[in-house]
Amino acid sequence: MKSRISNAYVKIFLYMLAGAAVGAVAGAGIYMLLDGRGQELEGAAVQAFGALQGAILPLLSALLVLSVLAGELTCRKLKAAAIRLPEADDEESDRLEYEEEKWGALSLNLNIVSQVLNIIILAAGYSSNYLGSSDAARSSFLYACVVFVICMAYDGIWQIRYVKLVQLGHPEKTADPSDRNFQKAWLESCDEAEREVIYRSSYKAYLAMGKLVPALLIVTMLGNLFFNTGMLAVVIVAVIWLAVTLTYTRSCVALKGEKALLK
Amino acid sequence: MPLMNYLKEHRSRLGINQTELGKLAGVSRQTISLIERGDYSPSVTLALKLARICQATVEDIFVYEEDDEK
Repeated sequence: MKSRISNAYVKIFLYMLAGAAVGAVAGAGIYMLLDGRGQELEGAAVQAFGALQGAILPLLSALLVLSVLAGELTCRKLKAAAIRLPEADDEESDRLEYEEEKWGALSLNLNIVSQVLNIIILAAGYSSNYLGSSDAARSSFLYACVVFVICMAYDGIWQIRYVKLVQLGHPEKTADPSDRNFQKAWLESCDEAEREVIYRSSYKAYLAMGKLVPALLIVTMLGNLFFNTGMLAVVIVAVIWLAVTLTYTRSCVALKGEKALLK
Repeated sequence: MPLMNYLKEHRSRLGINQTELGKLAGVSRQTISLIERGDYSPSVTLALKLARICQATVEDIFVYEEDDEK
């Protein structure tokens, strides 16, 4: 047992040493790169950002079309499975429920990707420097805002349609998607096996965040060091890390309380 | 998987499908399917409910077998 503990300390020390070596090499590499071709790279970045600002409206319009196409296609697939589910025999139900889960996961991911891209693309023009640059920039941005709102509204409505389609195949799930406590009501309508899937998936998401957030913190710190991206990004990622960890540990402590696991 | 079960045989004896058994036990059809396939070990409460519905004991439906490899 004792050798195991000392091995763990040695292992952690070696990991830290390897991390320091990688950091030193990467830092020196970036410094050398910026020292030699810093202005060139900065110019390219400014040019790329300018091109993105000029293309906000067409990009958002294309994203809206793609979102609607993907949303309608996946809704059709989900509806086909949901309609057949109540009348299907046991083996057919297994197949249909798998299809439903697969298409549901794919379409939900596409929906979130659409929303994230929408925000990133619009944010490129969301600066007083850009908006003050010309009348054309202002009017183009105004139209882009309209397209953004339509796309976000479609994505929001699509999520409600998705829940309604799942409810079509599973009438026992009665949670109202427009309700503020929808997630809680949905969990309550799930049986023990469904909850196990949710709990395991949530833990997997927590573990993934535990790896992703520190990596993002390093990226934002390096960004601030070499490209002056500012402290805000570092602070936001650090707050996310804190919030995730505090939520998890608080829940663990709360669940040790009397009869907490029975609720 | 050390937990084996004969739920499918007991359900067939009752002449009901997975959806009907799920409704009687208060769980989804998918959960019954998962249990029958051995992909999910039910809680004690659900095992007792299923045994009561099948008019059998829990040990008649679920069999714990020691894993020799461990």
